[in-house]
Amino acid sequence: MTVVSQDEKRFVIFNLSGENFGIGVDRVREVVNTPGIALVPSEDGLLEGIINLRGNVVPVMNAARLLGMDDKDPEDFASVVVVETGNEVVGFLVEKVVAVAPLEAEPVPSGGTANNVNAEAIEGIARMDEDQLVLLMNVDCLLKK
Amino acid sequence: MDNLNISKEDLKLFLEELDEQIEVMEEGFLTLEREGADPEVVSATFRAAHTVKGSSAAIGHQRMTALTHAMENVMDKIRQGELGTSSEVMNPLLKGLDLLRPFKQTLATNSDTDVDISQALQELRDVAERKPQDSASGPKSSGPMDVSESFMQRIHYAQEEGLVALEINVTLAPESIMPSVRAYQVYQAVASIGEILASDPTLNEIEDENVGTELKFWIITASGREAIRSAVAEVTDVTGVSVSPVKVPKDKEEADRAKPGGAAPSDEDTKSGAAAAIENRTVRVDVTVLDSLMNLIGELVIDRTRLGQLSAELSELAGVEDLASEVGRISNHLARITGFLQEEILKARMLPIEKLFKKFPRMVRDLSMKFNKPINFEVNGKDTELDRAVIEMLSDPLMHLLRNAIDHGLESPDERRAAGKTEEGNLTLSAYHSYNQIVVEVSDDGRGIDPQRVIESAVRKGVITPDRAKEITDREAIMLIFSPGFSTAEKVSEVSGRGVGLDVVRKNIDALGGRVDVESDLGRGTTFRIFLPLTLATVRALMVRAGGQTFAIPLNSVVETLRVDKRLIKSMRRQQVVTVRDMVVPIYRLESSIGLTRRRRSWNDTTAGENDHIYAVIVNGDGKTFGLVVDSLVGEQEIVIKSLGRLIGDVRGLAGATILGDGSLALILDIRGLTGAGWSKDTVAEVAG
Repeated sequence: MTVVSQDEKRFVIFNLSGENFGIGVDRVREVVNTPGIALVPSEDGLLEGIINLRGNVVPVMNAARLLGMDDKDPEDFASVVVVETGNEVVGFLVEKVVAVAPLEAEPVPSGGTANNVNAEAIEGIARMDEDQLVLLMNVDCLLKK
Repeated sequence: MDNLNISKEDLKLFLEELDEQIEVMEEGFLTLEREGADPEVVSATFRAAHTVKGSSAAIGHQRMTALTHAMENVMDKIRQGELGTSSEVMNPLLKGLDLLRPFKQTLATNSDTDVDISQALQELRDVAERKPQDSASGPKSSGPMDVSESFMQRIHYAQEEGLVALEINVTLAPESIMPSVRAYQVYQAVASIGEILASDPTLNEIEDENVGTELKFWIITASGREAIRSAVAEVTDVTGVSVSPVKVPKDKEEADRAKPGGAAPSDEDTKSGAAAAIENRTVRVDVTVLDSLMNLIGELVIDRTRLGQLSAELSELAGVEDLASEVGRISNHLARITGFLQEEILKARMLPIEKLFKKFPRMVRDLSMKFNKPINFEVNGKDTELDRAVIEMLSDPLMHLLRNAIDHGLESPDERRAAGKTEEGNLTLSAYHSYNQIVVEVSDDGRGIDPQRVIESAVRKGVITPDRAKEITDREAIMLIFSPGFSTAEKVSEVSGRGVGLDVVRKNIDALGGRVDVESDLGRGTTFRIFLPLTLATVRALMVRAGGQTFAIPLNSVVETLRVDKRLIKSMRRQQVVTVRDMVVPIYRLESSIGLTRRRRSWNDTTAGENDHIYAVIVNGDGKTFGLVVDSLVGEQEIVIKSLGRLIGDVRGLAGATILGDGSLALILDIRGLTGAGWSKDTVAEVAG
């Protein structure tokens, strides 16, 4: 199968329950190390809490749960990736930011992606460092729910 | 939809202006209907209609132009004393206004509308064509144009303001395929240059496609003749344009001025002069700008607090006394300045409540007609200033209370006569300052609330138990009308019994940090009082630590704080309680009361170790008193409320968040929200230890 190569785009690559995920840098406002998150009650557990981002209250979502993955103890999660979607600014709680690197996006193979990841929220895949697979997240799709 | 040629920015301006003019007209029409043709009010409403006509023509909104044109015609007749100001005349005018609103709405949302104005237009025309009341009204000049005295008068005013009156003659090519369209384009072009006093053919005739090749306009403008000529000549099919000044005969002018009933020109001139002067000292500012200024000042306040803390710490260090006192001085100064800044920006957000009160005379009038209950409606304290956010959120609750008073409170004229009252019901809406609060009052002299009926209804609807009904006081009974799902109306009426009750009113007022109270005297009337804080921006709160994070409890909900020996905690029906001065008070862990289960260790857990006592904050919300168990008490503090944002929305028991001196966040509790529905089912959590 020939893959039509798209323009190389830079992605913020992070780790979540053993998988690599990427979000386009154009959507990422910044990455902050987990500051004091004020926990906010949430029935579905998708919302972790809120952080203070230079005077603005920014909600922080549990990215692993949003993606339908196993929920590891979020205490190990060290970073918040702050993204913009529409008029909203949202933080995703992630395990660890691995790199910011250019990746070549490819369509998701017909077989789907690995372990139970909510397929709708993945808009493509990419390869990093020879054999590492990165799942590229569609931020808007993820938050629609 | 009419094809509009307007940019987004201009549309915004247009809508703002439209809003103002609609208000002026509405208030004016109601005053005229009530008090007769006061020349000042007549000319103010006339000008408003005229302005809307002009600006809607400028953006090419044909239906709106046609409608306001017809309204203007009626107003003109009133102005000249040819028509009275009875309800028969005012009804079509008010109806016209009601049609302008949907136009405004659709313009604002950029949606399409199928508002049909033909009936309203016909009614307005019928009214305008009535026989003059006063046959002695001024003579008309001959010709197709009605060059009336008012016309001359306006030219005269314009000249005094330094504008010129011009006559424009336009010739269209006889072979033009769409003369009416071209005529309309010319009309628009001319309207964009100046105020059209009259035209031949009139706009109506143009719209009816009753157009020849010659067009005539009389306008008032500040533009030069050349500019006008070239603007008009740009329209396709225009073959000739001539512009000449309109001559005002000297004797005629004087005759106009001497004529009684015509608006006194000198008056009007001084007024517009003063208005212009004020306008020059005022700028329009988008609310979002004020909001973001508020936010920034909130930040500054936080830093100020932090700096104060650091300065205090510094003063305790040895060897840096000079530095400490310098920092202390700066910190104090900064505190003062930020205080002033905060005050000023709060002032900038204040608006007189008049903006809101204006809406109601019309509503009361319509309801009064609908229910056949004559009403004397009085409005007091229009100048009382409130934060604009509060004003916006007060609208619905007040509307509801007024409807309620008219529908349920005031009796029918027959009933009133039988009770020895005036047939006309009295309804008063007032606003005033009281201590550190603003009070808005809706008061009627109707039948009052019967506590017995309220109790019966409450028991029937399951709002209270029959047992409770036996011991309830009259005052408590009356307060039951604010309970969810309660409505005393026996039959559901279209106006106020639509399932939304007073509980919604209370919910809205609660959201503003205010409270609502009712006082009723059976047979004499009912008064609803809304108490509001002066500002929504800051609130004093008790800061506590619980479950590893900081919470703010607004001081108006806090009764007291207690240090309780654990051995004194009792258990009643699986609920832990403490006894506070002979009162048994249930206690809950703060974090579980809002549903923060300890699903994990938190990041910044500083929970105190094992102790033989607990701290409880006794709070009161909606008459329910309970204790919240916390790890430690931090202190009292002024906090700036921040919303949790749209994405999170409402969380039961939380009023928002605030940023602390060290940059971390604290959740603000909403004690009333905590006691609402759903409370205490699974929150009967274990108290520490």
